[in-house]
Amino acid sequence: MALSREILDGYWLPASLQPLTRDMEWEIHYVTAGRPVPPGDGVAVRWPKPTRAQWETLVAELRAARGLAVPDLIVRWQCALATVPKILMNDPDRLEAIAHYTGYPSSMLALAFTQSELVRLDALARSVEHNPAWAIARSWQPMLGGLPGKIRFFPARRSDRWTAALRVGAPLFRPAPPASLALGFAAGNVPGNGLLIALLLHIANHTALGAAPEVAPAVLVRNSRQAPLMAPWVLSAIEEVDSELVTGLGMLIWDYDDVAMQRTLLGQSDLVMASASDQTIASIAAHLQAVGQPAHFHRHGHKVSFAVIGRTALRDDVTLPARLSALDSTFWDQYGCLSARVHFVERGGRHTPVDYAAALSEAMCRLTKRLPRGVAPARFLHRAYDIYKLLELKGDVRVLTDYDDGCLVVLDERDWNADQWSATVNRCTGRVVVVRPVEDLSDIPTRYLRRLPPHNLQSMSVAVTANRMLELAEAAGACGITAFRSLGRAAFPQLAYSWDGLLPLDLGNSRCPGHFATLETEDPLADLAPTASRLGL
Amino acid sequence: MLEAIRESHAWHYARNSAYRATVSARGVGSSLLPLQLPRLLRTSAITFKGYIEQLGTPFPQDQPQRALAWLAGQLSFELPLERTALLRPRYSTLEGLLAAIEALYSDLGLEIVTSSGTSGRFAILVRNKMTVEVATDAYFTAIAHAWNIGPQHDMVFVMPAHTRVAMARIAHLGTRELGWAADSSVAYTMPFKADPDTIRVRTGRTFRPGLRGLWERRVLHPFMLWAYEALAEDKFVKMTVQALEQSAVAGHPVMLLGGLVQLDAVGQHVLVCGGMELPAGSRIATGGGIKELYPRTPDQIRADLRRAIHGPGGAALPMTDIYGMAEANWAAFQCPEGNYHLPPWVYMAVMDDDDCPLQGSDVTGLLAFWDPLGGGDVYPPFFQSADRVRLVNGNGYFDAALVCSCGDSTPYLVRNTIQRVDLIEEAGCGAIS
Repeated sequence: MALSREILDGYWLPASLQPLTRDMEWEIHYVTAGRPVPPGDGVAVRWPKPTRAQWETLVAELRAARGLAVPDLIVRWQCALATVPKILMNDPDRLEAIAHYTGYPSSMLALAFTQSELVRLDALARSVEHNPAWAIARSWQPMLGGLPGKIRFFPARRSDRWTAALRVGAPLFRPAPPASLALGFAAGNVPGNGLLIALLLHIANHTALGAAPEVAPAVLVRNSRQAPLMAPWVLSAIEEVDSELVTGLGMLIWDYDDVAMQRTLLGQSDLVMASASDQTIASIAAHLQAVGQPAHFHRHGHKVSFAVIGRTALRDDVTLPARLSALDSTFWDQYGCLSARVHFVERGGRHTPVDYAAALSEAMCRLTKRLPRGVAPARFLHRAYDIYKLLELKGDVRVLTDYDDGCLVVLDERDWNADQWSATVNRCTGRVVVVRPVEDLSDIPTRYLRRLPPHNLQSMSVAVTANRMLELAEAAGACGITAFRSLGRAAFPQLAYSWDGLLPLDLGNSRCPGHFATLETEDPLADLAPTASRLGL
Repeated sequence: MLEAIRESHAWHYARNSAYRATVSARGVGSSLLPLQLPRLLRTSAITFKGYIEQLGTPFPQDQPQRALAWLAGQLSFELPLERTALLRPRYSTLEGLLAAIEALYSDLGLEIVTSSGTSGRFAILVRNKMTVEVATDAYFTAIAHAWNIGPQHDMVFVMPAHTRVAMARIAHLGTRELGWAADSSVAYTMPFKADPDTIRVRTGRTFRPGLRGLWERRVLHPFMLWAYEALAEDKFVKMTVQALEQSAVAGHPVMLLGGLVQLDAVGQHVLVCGGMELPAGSRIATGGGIKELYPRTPDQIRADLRRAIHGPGGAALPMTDIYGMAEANWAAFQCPEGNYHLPPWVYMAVMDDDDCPLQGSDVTGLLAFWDPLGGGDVYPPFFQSADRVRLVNGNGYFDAALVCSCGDSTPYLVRNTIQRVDLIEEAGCGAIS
């Protein structure tokens, strides 16, 4: 398909504010497969570069455009978003342009669009209706709003852990003051991050418990140069459906190292959310401190995720868990923080971890044809291959894929020390999976998770029976894991549940320090076949 | 050139088990097809730091026998492993282990060099008599060719006389092997120890585990930083100035060679003292780039050096840079145009992010080289570097219009385009530490 020669907009402002860009300078990027190319080649994308004065005007106009207090804001987002996939899928040229720009194949983008669980805002609305009690700091409780699954809170302070027993019925959250300007920073490792952040910031005031419906904050999101097209495209589609919804929302790109600009914007924001590198998050925190702004700051930094396959999942068809976990480690070339890196496989099933690793390598190779590699440089994959082929000579390591397979599956049974374990986790990006046999599920938190920094742990895709799930979740949650979902769903998390230890309720309320962990299902094993069928695996 | 690479590959393939394991896993046998050239390339991090993953520690001195077995696997000549029993069960320092291995195989003329070790984790490379001679020839022939430097020049190296860092070591080996010190003055002006353990603690990125690590982190590291600033810097600056003054008095042309940071200290001191004039034919040479945080840019440092040290009548001295790698037994020398000329006996290309060679006579990517001669009988020097560069007239391409204006028609790296980009443990969304 020929690429459009027009310059696409890599920013978004509501139609009413578009005239503000008339006198602005523009930055134009020409990119193919995530890499810059000479002008005239690749996909051309532009965004405005406002001057300091133009920024002031823009923020003031966004604030003025916030609109009225809408009690059913979340439901309106739900209705608008429901129409979006159809609108987008009817614009194959735009989808192709995003694929060319980001490097991710259109088949992967299309698969992401057709799975609507991510935007199940009805579930999100239910999850913010009630204030959970302190009992969830003592044990796993039913998920909020009557949603499937369970929830648990792990207080960070020892004093909160001790006193939780004395206040089991007391509410955990207290409402925070409403935000008037919310600022978001979106990383570009996964397309759509900017949209997710814009949405969450926009509904923040509506998650405040016991408060009258508030006006949504003006929202300004700093999008990534790596993925500037997807979110503006979706926002334009939403504007077609419900223009009132997005009147106070802007998405632009500016330089992190423009200290004056960062401080000007942060100094006016009362809610900040950053999905970014740990260094960027530290820099934003330092700016907030420097300008003395007591903003509510949600940090989503470097995170790593895992897959867990219990012995019962290896009782029958070993290819079923392998096909699903292969997807968990393939989507977004494993650059998403939800991508499973190390797959822990419990011994004692009818099929062995070796059988699983073989099935996984087949499944990943097959997926490489259906969802070809995107931006991940093959050289990192090749370097990992070289390392493991040398280790294979010493025994205890088995490489199950070939140099040119486009993915790497390794069975590693060495006795890792802390350095080797960290190196293994870091090496697993760009479709590199290490299969790690364990004698028992209880080994995973005690021998592995505890040796990693808790703030770096994210989620687990699991294939474990219902009766063993809570025990694993309790121990892994205590180590820092924040979400458990069934195998194959790593790339499709639900917004109502914990994201990096935060709930939607955290947007408009305050609580003591700590993190949430949620189970999206109580019986992950039962979910395997339906998930495989739904994803066409 | 291809024939020479084929021969070299076949020879090492038959003898070097680590090399054979790596390239055979990529589908390459003992005979080589031209299309398979990229598949011969290894990275220094995996090849020469491989002991860290194999032994599970960056401190091979804790496992001397296993470390030696790993080292033997990297070599294309046979290392008599029965001597391993003569090693101690452990050594307190990496320097101790490396010196013990050298002593154990002194009959083979083994010399062990390391990378600069700014990460605290060292690439460990072996050279024997043959490769020392090759490297010496390569460096000093190129210095003579590119810069007209010879035994008539005094040499002032702002580096320690005794170190294992490859680039500094070659200076020492070269002047020793070629006997330059007999005809002229050769001075090493860094007065302190530069063994791997000292470098590791001073750079402060890798410490021993346990109490010893605590001692290193809390006491030794801050002390070394203080001692460098308060004592050593003053001393090496004075020694450098003294050596330069001696050459000036004797009327000998001099080559002053050092890292940018060290030369900056010298330059600042000389500026305060009112500047210095060196005899005609003198030159200032830099190398190694800036590997640690430093408040001044290379351009600022060079500008001040030019103001501080000049030739007769205030004429500017030539100031040029050297680009080299620990794993390469060659170096690229900057010409008057500022470009880095590559030796004609090494096949050069740049690779894209998917390990494919970029085609064309002016391309930018990761530098790779196939040196059919430089590895001697020690290891096959076919490497992909972690440096992104702009290469002109490499990879078998030649465009006469792109020949460097200095007149040298060899392939070259364009000035100001060398950029370190790669870390082997680089991760995408999440990297844990």
